[in-house]
Amino acid sequence: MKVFVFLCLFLSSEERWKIVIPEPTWTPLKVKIESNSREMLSEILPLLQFTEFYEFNFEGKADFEITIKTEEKNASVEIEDFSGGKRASFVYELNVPYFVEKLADRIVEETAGIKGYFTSRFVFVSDVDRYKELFTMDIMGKKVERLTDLKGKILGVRAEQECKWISFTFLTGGHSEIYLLKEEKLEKFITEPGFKTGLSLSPDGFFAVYTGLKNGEPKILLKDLRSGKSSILISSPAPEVSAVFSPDGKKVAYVSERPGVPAIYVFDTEKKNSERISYKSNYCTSPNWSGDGAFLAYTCLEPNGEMNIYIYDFKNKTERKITGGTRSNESPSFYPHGNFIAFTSNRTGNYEIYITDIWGKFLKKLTHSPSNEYEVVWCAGKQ
Amino acid sequence: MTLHIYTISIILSLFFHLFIFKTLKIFPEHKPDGRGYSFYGERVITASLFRVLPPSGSGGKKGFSGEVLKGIKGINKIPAKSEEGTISFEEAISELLGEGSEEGIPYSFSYFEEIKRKIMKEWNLPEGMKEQLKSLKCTILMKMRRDGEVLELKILRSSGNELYDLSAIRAIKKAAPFSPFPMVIPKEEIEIEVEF
Repeated sequence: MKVFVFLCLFLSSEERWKIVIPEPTWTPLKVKIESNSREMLSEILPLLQFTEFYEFNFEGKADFEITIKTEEKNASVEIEDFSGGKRASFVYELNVPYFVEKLADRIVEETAGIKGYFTSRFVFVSDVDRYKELFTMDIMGKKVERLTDLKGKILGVRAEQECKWISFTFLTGGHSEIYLLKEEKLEKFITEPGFKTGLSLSPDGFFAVYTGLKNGEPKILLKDLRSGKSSILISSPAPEVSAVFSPDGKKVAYVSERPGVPAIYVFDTEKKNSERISYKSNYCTSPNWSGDGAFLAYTCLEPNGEMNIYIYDFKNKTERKITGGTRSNESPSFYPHGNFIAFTSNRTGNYEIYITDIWGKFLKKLTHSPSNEYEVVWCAGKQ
Repeated sequence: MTLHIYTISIILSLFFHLFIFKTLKIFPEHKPDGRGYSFYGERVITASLFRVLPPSGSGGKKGFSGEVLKGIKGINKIPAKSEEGTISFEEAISELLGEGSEEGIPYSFSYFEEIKRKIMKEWNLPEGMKEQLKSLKCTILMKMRRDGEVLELKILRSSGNELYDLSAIRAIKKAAPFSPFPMVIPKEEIEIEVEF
């Protein structure tokens, strides 16, 4: 009886029900976009479609409704969120450089939560004119501009997140020079004699790490730019190359031959110790940090001779391959504000630039040239 | 004397329960499939006992978790006879879990499963959430009217990420309106915590 009474009370109680929604299968946001200007639509739609973050042809309700009104000098944008919780409106001046890209950036930031996507650029090496020179292009693989005309071979390209400085090694006549391109000025940066390559500057700009020869062995050297003094950063009997500062400047990723083959290590500048990161392959090079320092991307040689991009997740301490089965995939470079990676691959014959995400689920080919493109660096748009 | 008091108490208690059951409209107006009231009543009580549904997962029937199946106590006490003949234990479970609810009266399990399916279908996450997805969780309180209309949505527990919270609200708003309450929910309005 008591049970029945309890049940009756239970039935008439005001208790809440609960539903748990499982992790979704990833589908693009459904967006309706309209404008009073067909020209504006024809410019902005290809950009938004390029991202694959959105679906424009669908049935049912949209997640976002975007209205762009162009007037004589301005374009005003209204973004209606179906949740009713957020409504963005902003105005951009027409006919200023990259205004369509800036407008698209704002739309992507408000709806997909990714910053500066369309104003980001790539710096890369191309052998388009038989030398290996430095070029830049936009995210769509267009608006290509030449940055150097040194008539030699450029390698070891590094850059600050917004490419405020770009460093590279220039090889000519058996000599190597490290150059720094800053505010459109090109200068020789490390003047010490002997072989040197792969310069990376600390975020505060006080230190530089690079590879130099010590007793005939390549070593990671640290240069205090205030005093001008250089010293060996990491003491080990093995050859070490490709040092890169983490975004917070507290760690340095590098390649060491301590295990007998090149492997990725991370040196903690505070604790003064190194940790091996790459184990899945026996030959790994080209470390590159994600913008928040949570991931490290690098290239590894597979037993079948292919090169693939691997990602190390510092939080979960896991290593995973994001490219595969397609010849060589090299030179990974993170998008500074998100989970995208640019890399070079010869999967279609010559080396071209591709972008993917850290899960390897998204792939876009950006260059389609008869030349080879190497050593890509992804630079964030200026905020 | 004591025996009389007990007898009277039992009779009064029976009347009381009948009154409550009638008031709450737990008994159906008709036999939907020719099966006994006791079976139907058992189903109602069982369904109501699981107001707070556990998350769906593998091991359950039609997307329900094993916990639900384990939780249905007294299921083997369900009369196994119908006008058409014997129903199997599996059929009884299917009946309880709402299989075939399109043809018959929707039961509470299938009702909430339908809400869940509709919300899942409409939940599109911004690209920038991908990496953080596993670490984000938010709960939305949804107030619903008997006819399936959503009256109010409130963020009960925020994920701390505005885009994520709004994507959850968007999913519910896009999925609404839902089907009217089944008769096993004898309320004019209910509140559901939807955890994303």
